Amino acid sequence: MQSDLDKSTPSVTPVTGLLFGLALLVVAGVGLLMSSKIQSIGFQDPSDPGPVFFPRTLLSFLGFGGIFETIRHTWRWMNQSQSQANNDALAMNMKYLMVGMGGISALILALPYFGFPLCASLFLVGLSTSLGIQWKPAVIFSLMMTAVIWVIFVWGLQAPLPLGSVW
Amino acid sequence: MELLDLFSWSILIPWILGMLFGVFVGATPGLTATMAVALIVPFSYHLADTRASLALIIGVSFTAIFAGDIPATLLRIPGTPASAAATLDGHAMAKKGKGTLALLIDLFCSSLGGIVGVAMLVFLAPQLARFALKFSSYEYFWLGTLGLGISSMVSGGAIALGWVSAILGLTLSMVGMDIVSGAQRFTFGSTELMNGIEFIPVMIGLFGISEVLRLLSEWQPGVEERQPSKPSETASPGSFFRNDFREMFRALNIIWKKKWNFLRSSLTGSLIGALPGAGADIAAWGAYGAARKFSKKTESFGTGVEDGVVAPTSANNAAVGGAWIPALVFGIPGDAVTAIVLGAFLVYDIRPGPMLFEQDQGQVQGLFWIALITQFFLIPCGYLGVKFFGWILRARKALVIGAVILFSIVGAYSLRNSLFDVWVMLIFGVIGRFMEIRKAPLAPMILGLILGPMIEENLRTGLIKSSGSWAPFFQRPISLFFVLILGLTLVATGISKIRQLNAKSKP
Repeated sequence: MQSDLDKSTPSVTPVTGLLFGLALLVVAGVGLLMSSKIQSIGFQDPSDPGPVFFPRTLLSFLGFGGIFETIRHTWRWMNQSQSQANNDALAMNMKYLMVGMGGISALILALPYFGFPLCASLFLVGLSTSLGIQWKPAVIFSLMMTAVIWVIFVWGLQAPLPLGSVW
Repeated sequence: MELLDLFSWSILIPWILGMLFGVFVGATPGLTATMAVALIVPFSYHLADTRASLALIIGVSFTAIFAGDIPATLLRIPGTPASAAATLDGHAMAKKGKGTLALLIDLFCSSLGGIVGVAMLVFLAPQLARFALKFSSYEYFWLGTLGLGISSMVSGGAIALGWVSAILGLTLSMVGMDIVSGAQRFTFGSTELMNGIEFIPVMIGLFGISEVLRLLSEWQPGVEERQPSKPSETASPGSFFRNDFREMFRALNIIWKKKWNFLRSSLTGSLIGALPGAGADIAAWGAYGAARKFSKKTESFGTGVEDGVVAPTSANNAAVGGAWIPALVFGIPGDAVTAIVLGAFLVYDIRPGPMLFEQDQGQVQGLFWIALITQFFLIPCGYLGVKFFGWILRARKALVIGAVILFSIVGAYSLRNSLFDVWVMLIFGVIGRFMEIRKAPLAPMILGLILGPMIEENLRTGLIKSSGSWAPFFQRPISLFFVLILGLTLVATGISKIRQLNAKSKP
């Protein structure tokens, strides 16, 4: 997995490292803050460290990791040129990423209203055509894929998929 | 139960159909081997012949573990948690155009590994199960920590990032109701989070959606985006099977060359599988770590080396046989799949325990035969699964992306019929992509999420038993053994990393 990344993604830049460190700090900070609200219910054995001990220990480790990562990459960031620091943004094709993310989010939001067959077909047509597939094969593939999934899950495995409240 | 009786049509038909069902469910991202067995058990009750019912259940339990490796290799989405280790070198081989070869190695290793697992079950069951019975909370705590530690250290990248990933997984496992006190932790008032974060949507998000996001972020319009494939994989239907025959012999030849790795991995898988709580996922990681340690080309692991395919795939199926050892001898299931099988046995009036071996030897022998023959049936059934999913390799990447997204959404949704799980999947897809950009391994996070409750429960139970003293965690012989193994692995991996850095810094 890691070796996949070595080839497919650019080397770790200070901006990525810094963001990762800050993300760890935020998770650890919010977690530690929330852990003060955890309350035991009922009798607790005095030898039991309680429900707070384990998460707090883990979050503390995570916080230390975040501090280390942040300091390390801030140092790297301060010691390099601006063009190198912008490598992360240049490495990504944000347009297609946004199309994908937006499409998936819209699909999940629309599923309870318009149901799986319609939403999935439209989503697949939209995604495939925006990625360069001609509309005819895109429509055929979308309908076939939606039908196959429906047959397998709903008929075969008796796993219901949303039909939509609008219909 | 006589051997020849098993070859009657009334048994063979449900047996084979069950195995094909196992291939399908195991290979479908989001549907686990546990789910496959759980779904098939009610079907088995409708069969008139008890032997057919047992063959159906046992067949599914073995096949689904192998089938999980198919999407792990082709799509980098583990079909089951036991296949997470197969995403490393198997998928790397597929990206080089050797997907069919990787899966054929996987198939034979799974079948042969299963045979080793069943052989261990037959010959070593009482001794190993007796040993596993000596474990208490202290040993289980270290066993879980050891599994997590190994996965953190062998997943590639910096060891510290592996541990960060594992700790993130452990922290996520804390979400929901506390198992000891009943207190709510990090639920943010959400009823969906009270039962904790389901690991299947997280797994699909981290391994499936993050890969989709990577493909989209690197998408170049106008460039023909087909998956890499070699001539044998794009051949006409006429030469389809002929080419595969050649690949089969090649796969067998590779396994023969890697026989010591195969044997070590199968034995490791069987032994780890026999330890209650440590399932096929820990077995696969343990075997992968051992193969990497014993290899002369440690640094090439993860880039598509055959040893990296042989080790986890032989271990995860061997672990299924291993998991049966404490299940049959002492009635303690080794993992969730075996727990369901054990429940089904009770319905068929098979009472696992030492007395079963004394009083009903015919029944025990029958079960052993079914498990053994299943390994041979696995080859044709698994081959069909490999061919079915192999077609994905020839599809245009734009279509594959859409199909993966749809299967991921449906897989996450069908677990609890909840769109909340689909959002969880998407969020973890983004987290997974971000972690990949930072070159942090993802697999330890999944293992942390699975093993978190076990580690915490045994830590707290151990402390309660010892009145708050930490001494038994380090003083008991088996605990100490696990601590030493963990420490030695950590030191050895650290030394190996320092050597790699030194080698790189030399002109």
